[in-house]
Amino acid sequence: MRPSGPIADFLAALARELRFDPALASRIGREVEDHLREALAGEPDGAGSEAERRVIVRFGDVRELARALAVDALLAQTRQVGHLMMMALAGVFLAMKVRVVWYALTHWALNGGLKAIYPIALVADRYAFATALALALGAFAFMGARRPPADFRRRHARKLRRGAAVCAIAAGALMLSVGIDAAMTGLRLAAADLTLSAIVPALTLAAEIGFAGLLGVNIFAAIRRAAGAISLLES
Amino acid sequence: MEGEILKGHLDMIVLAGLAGGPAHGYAVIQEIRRRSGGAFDLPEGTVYPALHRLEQKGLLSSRWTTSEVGRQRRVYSLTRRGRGALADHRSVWDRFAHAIAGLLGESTHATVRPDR
Repeated sequence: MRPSGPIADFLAALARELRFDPALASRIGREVEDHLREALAGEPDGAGSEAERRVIVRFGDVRELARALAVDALLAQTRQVGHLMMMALAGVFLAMKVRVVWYALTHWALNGGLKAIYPIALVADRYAFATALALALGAFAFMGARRPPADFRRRHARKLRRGAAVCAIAAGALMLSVGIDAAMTGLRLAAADLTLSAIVPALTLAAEIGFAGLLGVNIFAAIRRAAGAISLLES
Repeated sequence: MEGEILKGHLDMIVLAGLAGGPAHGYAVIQEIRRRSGGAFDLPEGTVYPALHRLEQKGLLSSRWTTSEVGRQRRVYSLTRRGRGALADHRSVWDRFAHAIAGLLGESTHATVRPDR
């Protein structure tokens, strides 16, 4: 049965306000419940509804608490996405370079059909990667260096939304770059005999796809959480 | 005391509230109230965003424990960096308080200067 009473209602309201970040909602919910129950135990007239209300009044407004937590959650999330983006870019770059070095070491030449499209694919790949890197660095500098102000304003929300859009475009550019790599590596592997030397290109390609996928999933989740936090802060 | 003034120094106040040893949120706010002689009477919930923020900055660490009545309880303690930050805050605050005391003292003298 669902617990009832002013404290249970307060905790339910806090969970609703913080639904944009379930992990934060769960942690703070348990902390606040412990706080309120301990404060209630110290009330002279026991654990009635009146005592629960007094404890809640002393604790403060649920929305104010959620808003204060949302500001810090946004900052932590922004930094996390920034670090993840840098890690994914570094991982993809390293995987690409390992593969190129492997092709050189094993004298893995391109066949006739691939030779024709390789220069175009290489240029597209480089531009996509450079775009992702430039946008990620820009977003990192733009969002990572700024702490959301305690008195959150619409202007800051607009900045965060723009930053999130830049992150999403950067992730898209990185995925395009990985997609081109996947197509080119797949064609190379299809045209070659599948020997042990194919393991390195296959593994590096899997690593690239893993990094890009991890980044995409995390950015999507972060944008959803940020949208929830911003809407709470703007309300 | 004015809530806005307190909010501006909340991180320092919370660090000071933990100077005596590890404590959970409720104990921190009680300690702040006790040591300030009741002058710092913030809404109790204000302490949680500060605790989380200070933990993210690496000034506090925290762990779950179980209270004597079996509830889950998050206990915070100062890290080495946190103790350093508190010492820095204390030194800045001492200089600031000294300067303000001098300034207000001078201005009082100026405003009560006898008529010629």
